[in-house]
Amino acid sequence: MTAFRLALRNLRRNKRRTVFTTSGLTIGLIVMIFAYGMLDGMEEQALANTIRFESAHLRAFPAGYLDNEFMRDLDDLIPHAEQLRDSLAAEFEARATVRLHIQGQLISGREEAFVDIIGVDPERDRTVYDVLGSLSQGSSFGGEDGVLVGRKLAKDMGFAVGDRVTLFARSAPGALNSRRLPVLGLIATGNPLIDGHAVFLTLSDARAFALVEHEANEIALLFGGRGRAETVARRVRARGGSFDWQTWREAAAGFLEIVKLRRIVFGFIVALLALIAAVAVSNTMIMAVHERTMEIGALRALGFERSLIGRLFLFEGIAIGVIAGVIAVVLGGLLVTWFNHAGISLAAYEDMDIGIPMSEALYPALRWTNPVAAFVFGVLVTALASWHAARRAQKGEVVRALREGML
Amino acid sequence: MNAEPVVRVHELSKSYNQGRVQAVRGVSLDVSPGAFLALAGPSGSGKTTLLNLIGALDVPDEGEVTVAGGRLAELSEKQRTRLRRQRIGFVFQQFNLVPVLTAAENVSLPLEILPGTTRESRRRAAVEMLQRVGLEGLGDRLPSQLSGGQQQRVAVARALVKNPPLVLADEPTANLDGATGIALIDLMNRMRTDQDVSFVFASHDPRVLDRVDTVVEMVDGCIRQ
Repeated sequence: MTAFRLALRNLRRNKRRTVFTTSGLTIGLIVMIFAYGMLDGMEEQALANTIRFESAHLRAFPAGYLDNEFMRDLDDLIPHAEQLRDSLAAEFEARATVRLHIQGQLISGREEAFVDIIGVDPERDRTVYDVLGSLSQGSSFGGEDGVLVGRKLAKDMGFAVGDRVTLFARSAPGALNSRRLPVLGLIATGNPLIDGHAVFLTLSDARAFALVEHEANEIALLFGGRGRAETVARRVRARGGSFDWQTWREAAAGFLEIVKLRRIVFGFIVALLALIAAVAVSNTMIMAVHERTMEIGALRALGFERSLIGRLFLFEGIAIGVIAGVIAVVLGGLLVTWFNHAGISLAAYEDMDIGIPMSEALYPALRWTNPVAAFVFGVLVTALASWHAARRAQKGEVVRALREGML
Repeated sequence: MNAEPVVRVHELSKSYNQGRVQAVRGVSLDVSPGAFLALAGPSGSGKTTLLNLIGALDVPDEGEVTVAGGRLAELSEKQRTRLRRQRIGFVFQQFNLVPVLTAAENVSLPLEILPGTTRESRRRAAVEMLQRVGLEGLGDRLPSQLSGGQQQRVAVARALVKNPPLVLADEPTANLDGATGIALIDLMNRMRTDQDVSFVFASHDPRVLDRVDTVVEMVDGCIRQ
């Protein structure tokens, strides 16, 4: 108790130095809380985006479909896709939809691009995906024929709602087919695969274009919670059969790697921050030991144990960590809460492919673990940094400390 | 009736710088209970070194010191620290109060590291001690808010609050003006009588030497006979 009270009082001795050291550490911890909130938010949003627009919770494809990302023909399709859809939906209490993907070209004037032409059942698709609800311009499928196109793709190719574009692809029998359709609407999901590469038309139009009847090459399932996907995937894979199954986690593996890489890079930055903070705190504490050498001698003369003297300085350093930690938790928490509501606009970067599916605003995640980790981190760093000074303070001879002011 | 000495020093020697500086040479001395004794002599005569050896702050090269019945040579460093904590009070030339503690907290500081004291008992002891050294009502002040004389009185109160049998004071008046120094020595003399405590000073201040019962003159590390 003596050491703790003295440690707190001693912080007031050189207020400017204490404030400077504490502020530096506080800023570092706030940066840590905020940055980890951003990373968590980015990960959460990207996962949500992937599930909502790209992967659902679990998808079935024809066998081998996932192995040929760039050369997917229509030779292998899921026959009677609607029947399988209904049976899977009933068995696993899932919402389900059928899609037909056709790799082809989109031509507008002199511009052309390789695209994923996706046939969707509008009613069913809305129960699994949010793509059709993400129109930024125009309207969705109604009575008339037409396509919905990713907004970035339209921008890159220079066409707008109402313009006519040509779809060009190989049909299931192998013959080349083309169709000229009006653009009904533009879709903005923040998912680069959709916004920059996808063209949607109704499933019936897509089947007519591909010259198939009841076949498809994607059945997407959405469960009550995403945690169920792995269990269901294990069960359906155990049955064998001629399907490729892909969970949302497998679909997101690419950007999860990117997020992981960012975490590693940020880990290095945090380590650097820790080093700077440790040097600052250690320097502060060593200066304090030097300034109080005669006092240390007097306390030793009064009968203070060496270990108690050491604890004085250790507690003083830790107190800096605790104060900085508390302030950082409050301010960092407020900052994250604020941006969690307001969001950080990414509109200026909408044309930039950052490799992570994101919406137009980034919302840092509110997780209690980040402030707690920052607090513990701050206290540990200051404890380690003060340990050296504490060891120094408890060394040395009383007489020398009293006489020469040296330990 | 001869009471057991509070301090017994026998053939004590201490040198520094690998023996090049002989600070104390073969000194023997007894300090009786209730003594008011000064080690006098010019700078470098060895009086502070002898005081440090008696106070278990330093260890001798040769000879023996016994304080309150305990032979220091037989004590480990922890035991010497405990001896200082329980049996010896110190007053320093520079006062050496803890600047972030109030006068009352400074006085009660030695009690905080003594087992068996409560916050209330420490507070009461500090208030009483401050009253006895004439600083009633100043307990809440920080050392920086007190004069030099008042600070040294706080230091005296701090040395006496645990009722030690021995108080060692190294040049306690060196930083005080004439009247304040005299008043401080008179105060310590009164406390000596009140608490039955022995005072040993290291000083060359005539104000001190004129008021103590015994002056032990030191020259070149030896006691002048």
